[in-house]
Amino acid sequence: MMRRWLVAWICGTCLTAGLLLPVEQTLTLRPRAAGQDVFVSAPDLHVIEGALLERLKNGAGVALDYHLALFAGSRTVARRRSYERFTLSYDLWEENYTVSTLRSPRSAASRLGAREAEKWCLDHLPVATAGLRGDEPFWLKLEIRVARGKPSEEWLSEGGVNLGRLIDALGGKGEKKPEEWVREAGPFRLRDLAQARMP
Amino acid sequence: MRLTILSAVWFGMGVLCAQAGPGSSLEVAGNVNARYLVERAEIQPESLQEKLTQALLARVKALPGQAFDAASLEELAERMRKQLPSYQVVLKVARGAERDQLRVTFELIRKGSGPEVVVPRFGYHSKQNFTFGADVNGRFGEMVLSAGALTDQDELTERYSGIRFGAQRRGLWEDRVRFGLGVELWRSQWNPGVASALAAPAEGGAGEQDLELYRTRTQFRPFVAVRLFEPLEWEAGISMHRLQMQSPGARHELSSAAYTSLRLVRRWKGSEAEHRLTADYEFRLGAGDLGSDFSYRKHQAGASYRLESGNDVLIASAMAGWLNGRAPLYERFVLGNSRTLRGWSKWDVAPLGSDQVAHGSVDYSYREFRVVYDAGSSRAFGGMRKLRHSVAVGYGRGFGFLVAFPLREGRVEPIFLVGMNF
Repeated sequence: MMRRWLVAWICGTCLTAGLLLPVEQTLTLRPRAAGQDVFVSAPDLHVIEGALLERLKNGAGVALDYHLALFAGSRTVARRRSYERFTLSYDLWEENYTVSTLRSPRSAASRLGAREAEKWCLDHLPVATAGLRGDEPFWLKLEIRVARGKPSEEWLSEGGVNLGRLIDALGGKGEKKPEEWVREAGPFRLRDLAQARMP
Repeated sequence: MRLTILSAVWFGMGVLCAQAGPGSSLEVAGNVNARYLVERAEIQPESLQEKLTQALLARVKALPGQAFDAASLEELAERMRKQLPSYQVVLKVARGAERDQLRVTFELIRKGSGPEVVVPRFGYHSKQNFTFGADVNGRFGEMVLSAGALTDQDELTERYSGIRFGAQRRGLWEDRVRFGLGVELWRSQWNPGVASALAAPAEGGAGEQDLELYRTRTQFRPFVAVRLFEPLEWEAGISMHRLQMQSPGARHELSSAAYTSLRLVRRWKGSEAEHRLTADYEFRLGAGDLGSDFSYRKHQAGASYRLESGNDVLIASAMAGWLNGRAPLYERFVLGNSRTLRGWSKWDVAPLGSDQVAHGSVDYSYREFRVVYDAGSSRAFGGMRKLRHSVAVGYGRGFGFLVAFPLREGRVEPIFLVGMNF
């Protein structure tokens, strides 16, 4: 009798714990078609927060590299790709964001909130769908990374080689973990996508 | 594979466009705050300002009234990090008291005082073999303790190997004064050429016969150093050596010398170039009054100028020394190593070292490619003064290699050097 109660108690505890434990959410991209291009939105993806937000609120300008890849037929070789570098800064007096593209012709927007600035970047990252049939399944992968400066050789100076810093540099410990965000979603079909106005 | 290459290209974009320091995001053009003016710029704590160069301080003081330039501020912070390696530099920007103005603060925070392992010397020379050393340095409040091991066949005519310990007290008189003590225990090994030169009849006849090889030497060196003003430091101390001679009976001799030195380091920046000037002078006096078995006077002066502009680095340096009296072998001047007359072997130039030397060097690098020209003149034991030249080409600054050739008639044997800071 006692044993049954014990087994029941363990099962119940595990079940409750399993229900309460945070389950990894499936993070999605929402595609929309606009002419011969596909754009994405990522409502759950917030880039402007944490360390990046701190740097922006400290007056720094930040470069963000965006990469959107479209996979069809194969999940390893991208059919189409789109790259863009956006520059972002936070107006310390107006308390809003300014964002611009680096490629010519340059586009820019100012007086944006954080979420609006993030959305503006995605709205300026089209990936072409030329050659993709309406019923052909495809997947999308979005990667965003904070552009970084060249690491300096702090481990080597006139005083000699600092072994601790050298080991850190070789092990990547000296460098901060790169700030990057990745989202994948699919399969989608062109015929199912809503046609949106060009941004 | 293609995906990997493309991803690498994409992620490499950041590095190719690099401008900023380690760990920082890339500062970009088009920062909206560039339309504001700097209202105030300060370094916290103020007491650390003295440790920075006047040129850097002048740039910080010139910031108020200028347009806010995040890239330029990050560059200043990076310079502070280089000048004060034991401090973290945090750049903080906030709204100023006046509308459309910003307040800039460089916050200096001392890094943890844990011990650090440093390799001060590492190199290979095709005539001299390896030189290698490692030190452990630790800072405990204002005390700096160090311990290390070294085997060096580059600096002197001998290979000396052993251990060394040091203790320094800093932070006195507004961090202008430091004093310390060094203890070194070395075992000496001699190239056969040195022993042959000692056995050979004296070339000049003056002093050569007084030289003796030693097996070990133990140094005890108390010193005090005072920063007279920002770029100039004065140091004085006594260097006491106990030598165990190689002669039968393993007798000991003492070599004590009082020394004083001046050292100047100055950096400044022009519109497109960075300049660095270092100069030093040292006088050593070995005298019987200090309990020394050796009596001599040694003067040594050197200067070096470094100009860096874009991908070009030019270093011009000169050194001269003069020694008078009976000095132990470790005090004698050496030309023909990894820093002087790089195409020559020091045992070919003067196996027992020189009494008088003059040396000049021009070192030019474009990106990592490097060309060095050395010229040196030496004289030993009243013999003939001889001028020698050499050229070297190589790759890598800081850490790299050089192939050096003596400029002379007859057979030329190149010397290969690899290592750091030579």
